[in-house]
Amino acid sequence: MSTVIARTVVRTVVPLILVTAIALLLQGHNLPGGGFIAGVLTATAFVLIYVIYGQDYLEEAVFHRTPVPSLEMFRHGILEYYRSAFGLGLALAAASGVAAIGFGEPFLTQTVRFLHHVPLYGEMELASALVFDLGVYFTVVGALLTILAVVGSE
Amino acid sequence: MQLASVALAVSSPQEPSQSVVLAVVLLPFAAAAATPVVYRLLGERTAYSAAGVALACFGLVASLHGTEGSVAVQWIPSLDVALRFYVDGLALLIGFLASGVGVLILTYSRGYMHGEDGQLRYYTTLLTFMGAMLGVAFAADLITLFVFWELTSVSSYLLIGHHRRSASSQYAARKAMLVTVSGGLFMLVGFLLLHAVSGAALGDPTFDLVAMLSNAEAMQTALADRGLLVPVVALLGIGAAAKSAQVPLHFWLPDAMEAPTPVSAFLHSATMVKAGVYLVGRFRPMLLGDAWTTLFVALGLLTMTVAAILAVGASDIKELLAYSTASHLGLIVAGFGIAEKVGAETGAFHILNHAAFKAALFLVAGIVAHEAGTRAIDELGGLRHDLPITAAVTTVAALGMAGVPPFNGFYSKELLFEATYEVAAHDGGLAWLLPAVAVFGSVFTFLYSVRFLMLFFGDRPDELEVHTPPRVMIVPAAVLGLVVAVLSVVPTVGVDVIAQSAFESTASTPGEAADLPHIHAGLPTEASPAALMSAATIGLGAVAYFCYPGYGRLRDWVRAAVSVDPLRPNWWYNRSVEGATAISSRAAPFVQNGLLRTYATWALAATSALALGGYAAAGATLPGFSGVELAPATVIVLLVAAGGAVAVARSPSHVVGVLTLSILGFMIAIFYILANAPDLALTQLVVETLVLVIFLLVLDRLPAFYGEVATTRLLRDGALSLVVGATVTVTVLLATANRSPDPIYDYFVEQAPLPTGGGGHNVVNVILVDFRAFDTLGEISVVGLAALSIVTLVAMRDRGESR
Amino acid sequence: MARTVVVAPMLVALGAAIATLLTRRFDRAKVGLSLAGGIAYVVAVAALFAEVGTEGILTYQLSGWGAPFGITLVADALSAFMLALAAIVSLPALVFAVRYVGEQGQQVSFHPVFHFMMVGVTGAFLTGDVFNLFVWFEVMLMSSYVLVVFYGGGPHTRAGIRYVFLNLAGSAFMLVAIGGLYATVGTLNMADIARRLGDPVTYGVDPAPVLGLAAILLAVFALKAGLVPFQFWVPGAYRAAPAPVSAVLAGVVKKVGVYAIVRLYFTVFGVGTVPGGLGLPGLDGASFLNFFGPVLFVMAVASIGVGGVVAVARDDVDELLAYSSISQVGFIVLPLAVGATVPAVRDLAIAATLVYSLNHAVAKGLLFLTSGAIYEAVGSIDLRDLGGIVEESPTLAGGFFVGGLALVGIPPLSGFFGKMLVFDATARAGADLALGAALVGAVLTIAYFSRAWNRGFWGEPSEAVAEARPSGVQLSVVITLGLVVVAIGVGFDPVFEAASRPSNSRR
Repeated sequence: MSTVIARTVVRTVVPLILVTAIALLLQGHNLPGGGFIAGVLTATAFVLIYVIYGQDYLEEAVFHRTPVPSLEMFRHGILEYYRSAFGLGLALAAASGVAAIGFGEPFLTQTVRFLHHVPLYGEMELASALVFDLGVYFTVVGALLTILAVVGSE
Repeated sequence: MQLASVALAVSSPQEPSQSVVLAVVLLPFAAAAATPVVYRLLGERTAYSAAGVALACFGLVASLHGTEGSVAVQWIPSLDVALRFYVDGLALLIGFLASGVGVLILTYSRGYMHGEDGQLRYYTTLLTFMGAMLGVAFAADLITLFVFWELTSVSSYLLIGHHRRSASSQYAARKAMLVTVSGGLFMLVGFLLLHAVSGAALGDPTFDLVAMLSNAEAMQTALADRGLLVPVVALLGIGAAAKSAQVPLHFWLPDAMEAPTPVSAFLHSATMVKAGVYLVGRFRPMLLGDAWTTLFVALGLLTMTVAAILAVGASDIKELLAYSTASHLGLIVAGFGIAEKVGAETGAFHILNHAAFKAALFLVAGIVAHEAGTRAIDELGGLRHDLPITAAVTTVAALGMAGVPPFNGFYSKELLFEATYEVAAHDGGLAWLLPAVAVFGSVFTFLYSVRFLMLFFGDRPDELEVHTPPRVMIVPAAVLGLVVAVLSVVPTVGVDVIAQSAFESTASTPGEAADLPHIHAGLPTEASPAALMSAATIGLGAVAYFCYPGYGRLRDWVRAAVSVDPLRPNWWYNRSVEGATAISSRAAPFVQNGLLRTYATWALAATSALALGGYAAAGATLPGFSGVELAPATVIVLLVAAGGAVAVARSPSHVVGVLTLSILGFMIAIFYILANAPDLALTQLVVETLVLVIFLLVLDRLPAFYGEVATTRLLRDGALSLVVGATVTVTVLLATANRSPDPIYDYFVEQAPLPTGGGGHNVVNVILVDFRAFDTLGEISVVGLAALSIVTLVAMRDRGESR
Repeated sequence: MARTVVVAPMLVALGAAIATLLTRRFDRAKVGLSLAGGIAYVVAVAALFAEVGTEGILTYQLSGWGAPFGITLVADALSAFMLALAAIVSLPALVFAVRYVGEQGQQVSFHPVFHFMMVGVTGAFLTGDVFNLFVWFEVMLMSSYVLVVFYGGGPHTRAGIRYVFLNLAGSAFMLVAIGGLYATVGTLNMADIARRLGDPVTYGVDPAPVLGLAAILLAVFALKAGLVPFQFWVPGAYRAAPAPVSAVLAGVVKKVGVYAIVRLYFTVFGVGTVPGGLGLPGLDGASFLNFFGPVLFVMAVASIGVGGVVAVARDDVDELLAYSSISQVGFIVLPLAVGATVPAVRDLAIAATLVYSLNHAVAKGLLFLTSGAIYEAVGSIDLRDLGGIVEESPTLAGGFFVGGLALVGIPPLSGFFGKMLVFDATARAGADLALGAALVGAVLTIAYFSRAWNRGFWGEPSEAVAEARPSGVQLSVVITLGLVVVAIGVGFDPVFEAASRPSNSRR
């Protein structure tokens, strides 16, 4: 179903989408964006690859290796990565909250530090919320891709 | 109130020892718990060790004889529930019965149960029952009393169902449980009402029965003031009637004869069924009044008569004894119902007499069934040749049951006659029915008693083969026969030892027994009305049995009357149970028809009704329409969205439906942009795209056609949709029209940007990751769970067979 | 000062969920982590329970933002009681599941999903914020959905669809209602809502829409609790779910709906009044509770009746237990209905509801686990295939007997005090109709219990029963829960103290 044009477009567009997604994730604290949107956007990039190239391509050409699926009914070992991704995302989000308890603050308390005179950036904001948002991002990406992979291989 | 009982104890002979009272009640439970071990060691001889336990209890009860007062151990202080026990004549009487008959029954069981299955559970349950019954006897806390009360019902259930493979046992057990446990629940409500009222009568609400009895008048006044006297009497009456098999709740008792005969003798004649009359006697001093008299005299005399008549119709010796038990319990209830003191004398004294002769007769019935192999009355006769000792026991006991002088039943029945006559002479008019009914019922008692006795006389049917019973079965029966004989020859022994003090407990509040008369127990010395009534009973009975119409014809008449279904409560019981089962079978598919459409209709309609009802009840008014104040672009977007929504509903296929649905989604995204919400717009756009893709992936797996839908159903669904839509619209309109002037989101907007001027300008994101990060944590869990659910659905889909 | 103990049960459950999610293969490590999580949850709840017992109400400001702006966790006597209930049922169910759910099921998702369900339950019991309540409801819904459809196949999927559809509709309504509340009251914190609603003039709140919004929420909670006419999902879901999950669904998840009713209507919306009095015929008074009392009454009585009647003739034990749950939730809510209408018995009524909830949780948990053990051993839980279990496995029969008698209300089991308090509250309120319904319901309970017992446990052992070999672990779980049922009744004093503390601290 995939024409040359489609393949070419995808090759161009997917990196753009991914960069946009990462930008949205990083700037979320101050400008429109955030972990959720970034995650969903990343997932759409993968969807494009799926639709145009198929699942096997992603497994072989992008990740270059195929883990053995732990569940025999799933053909695609790549599912393992996705499941890890949302598991780790959840772990990251929760851990960032627990870290606050380590500092004597309530669960999920966020803080921010500003670094001045950073090369290229000048002033840089390091928000602990970004860690939490990263957790959100990975959860969303992992979960959506899991759903797509399972539903898609049906 | 503790003070009151202490004060009372001073005036009475002696305080009971707390440890002895507790030991009486707890010993059987401990023995029951130890029975599995004992049974492993002793096997069938567990009967003797159990009888030993009963004997120990009997000894302990005997050591309490002459004491009076209460003991208490804390149980649930926060509810003022305690293990309160009270020792007085009535409690001791029941205690003697439970432990004394227990000794004999358990000994007897050694012979009767020889070689039977399930002896371990048999002895365990019997011991548990004995403990529960002793608990009922001594309990002086309404909750404690109820605990033991229900335990007797449960052990009765298990014992009736002892032959658990037999369908008739199961039927009988279930029936007994339904009646007695349900009756118990009614009684519980009565107890709770008493508890509630005791607050007003005694200062603090209490479950302490002695405190209530000590302030009987205050309690009764408080009950009457609240209009609760009649309900309480009725509720306790239901509990007592269910337990003591009073008409019309008597029908479980004959079926309960499915239990092994020792159980019938113990639970269903001597003790458990006495719990009901015990309750009546116990509450008599507190609740005696017009309602009390009306209810219990009517109930008792009705039961006494009806059950006696039914006993005449019986074809099985245990059935005969079962109806007879109900009848005699009716006599006791009637006695306790009568306000005159001689009424209480009747009840208290007859408890003792009845237990003695009826337990003896049940043991006889057991011997007969065991050794002759049948319980059918028509197949038995002339047993005295094979069972001489048993015949002697039967003679004494059956004549006691018949109320023939000088046997024990005569004395207490004489008291009933006296009591009914006194009431009639005092009240006149309709009250004359009482002595008449008493005599009428007693005639039937005489009839079936003689019939039972006749099993041992006359000719022995040829086909009847009778074995010699083991001594272990004869001895208990003989002991009971001896007790009946002693009570017959020297009735004052029974009165002096226990009946008098039991009477005092039922006729007076604690500690006020001084001016009560002494029970008169002896042969009549003059032609008193009661003596004449006795004479009439025996004369009429003799004529009816031996001359006209004769027992056989009477029995056939009774059976003919009983064959009229609506006259039998048992028929009603069966109809109710079968009816409930039938309704249940029919209701299930109606309640749960498996159609999501039905479920959704109910749920959505109910929700809408609740919401609209809430608005209406609160008098919420919709804001007036003040014209459209929207930018033209917004209006266009919303119109397209609405068009999309309509198109979805009308779409001919899934693909079209999904595509048009996404129109709606994208329009909402544009609306967010117009409303200055770029974050939401972005999210909406991307999500919409993804959802579209997922939808398209699964679309071709869905059925294209779901079948025709009837027009009426369409209309109904359409109407429901309109109502739900209206509900949501009204909700939104009301909510937006009545905005809070002081919402917390102002705070978010103020606080989000960090004071140092660096970050946090995106308030949406700050809310998500900071203010309400906890929500987000939950939401990403949901996202993860959604993925897990898909994995699970696919991975487990073929595992349907293996759960 | 932040007390971590408040958030500890939450963190433990979440930690267990994530840890078991990350260990993907089925092995001892996964089961070990899961069980350790279950035990740690009990410990955390016990610690919180003790702390609440000595310190009273504890609050915890998540993310460090003060109320009403941040999300507040509130651990009071009510939350502590419900959490204890959840802990008592969930650990036995989890242990049971390890020996019950197939290896593949445990590998795929059982453990993380089970713990996520506990996360949802815990969050719902602890949160003091209505939107956050919605979030934990969703977590609970998603995880319980997975567990309902856990064993694929037609009937399970069908039950799952009904379950998820009705609950999603409920979620949608809940969201609408919470949005409306936020708009009209201007806050999400429950205490803050109560404060503003109690003094509407000062805070500029119009109580009229709030009553309707609260009514929508009531429908959602009734749906969670499985009250008539929202009970439709119950029988299918309880039959479809694996036995240990049914135990938690009936024992704990259902109670979240009950808890929400107690929490929101008796402490938050209960303060609301309609200035001119309620304007519907048949309703007196001006308090919001005067509106909810009759509504709860109708739902409770209908539940007692419908559940009880339909249960009488059920042959499938799980189905019987499901209908019994509908009926029993009626008993749980009945005192609330009475307490809403009659303020004098309100405290007693809430205590009655809590005690009955606890009883139903342990007794129904016990019954579902017994049913699961029977299924595992015999291969069927249809009464027509059973018979004579008492001869082949007295332990399983004992579990069913104790659980059944507890439902009936036989003393001194846990159920007796539940029944007694329900009777007491209704009798004291003079609510004769309610009392009559409770008595009829109790008789129906005896009817369906005794029928099931006679058919399945007495009688001739069927072939399948005769060959049954129940698992030792399952039996010990059944014994343990059976002992809990007895212990709650015999040692009722501390239970009642704990159940009446919420009412005492309400004043």
